[in-house]
Amino acid sequence: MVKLTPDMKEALVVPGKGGSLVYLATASIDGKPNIAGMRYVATMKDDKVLIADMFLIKTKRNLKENPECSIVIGHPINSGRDWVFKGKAIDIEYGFPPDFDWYGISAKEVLDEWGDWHNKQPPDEVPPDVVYSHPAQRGIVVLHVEKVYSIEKGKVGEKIL
Amino acid sequence: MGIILTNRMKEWIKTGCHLNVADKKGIPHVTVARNIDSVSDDEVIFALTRDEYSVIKEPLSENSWVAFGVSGIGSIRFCYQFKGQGKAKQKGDTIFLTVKLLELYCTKPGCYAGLRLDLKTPQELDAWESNLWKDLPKK
Repeated sequence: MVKLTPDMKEALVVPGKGGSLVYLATASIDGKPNIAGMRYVATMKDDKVLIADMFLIKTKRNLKENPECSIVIGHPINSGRDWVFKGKAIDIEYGFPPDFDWYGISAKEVLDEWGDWHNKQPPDEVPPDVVYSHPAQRGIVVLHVEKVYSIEKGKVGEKIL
Repeated sequence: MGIILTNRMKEWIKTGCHLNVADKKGIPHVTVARNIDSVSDDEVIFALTRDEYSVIKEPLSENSWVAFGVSGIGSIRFCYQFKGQGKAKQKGDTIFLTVKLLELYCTKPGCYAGLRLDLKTPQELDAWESNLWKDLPKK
């Protein structure tokens, strides 16, 4: 079982709190890949990475047919945080039964803590020509991490966890 | 219609990219391309090291779709996702991955998220982008 390190947990918070921008990578069931940058990121327990579902379109559709997913540090790069977190993800949306379980965490605990992410961690650090001020959060993507590998220069692909 | 990259897009892509290739089981494999060999109107050639290529070698042999976005600060300043068909060729220690661009999406949070842009004419795309952004990456 994977256990995220303290450094990884520090990196997987919103940039305004000292964290990172991440890329969320998925694929449709017939193999068409998708990769999109995300700002709202956090961890829960020792093996979950969370992403807010605010503007997900293809990612959302992909996860509904194929849970295979990677979350990758996008920025900063070459900074000792060059990691890919790989596993199975689900988009826990409002309306899920509160006791719905995803590898040991419930829909209720995820939505209670992170269901109003924009107000909890407002995007103050995001440039004005990129930020969107009235996002409507529909849920939270929860990645159950099964493997971590490196994208550090010279070590890309090396297993870390 | 086909993609004709804007000059701004070409400059940002040259700063490096995160690439996603899925295998036949639909598992995404992500690598980084720190070096870009060339960017033309509708094609990007990534110059990958052996380790960068190792992550996508097998999936690319099964499925030639490649999706990518720009690394670093470009992951927020440069809100696009590119998709195309990739083909790799090794020369010495470098693997040249040529991606013929077929699809382009906006990833800016908000009303433009997911907007497909490769259906615009080059003039429309240029005007659309100029209305939102003009910044180029710092050298």
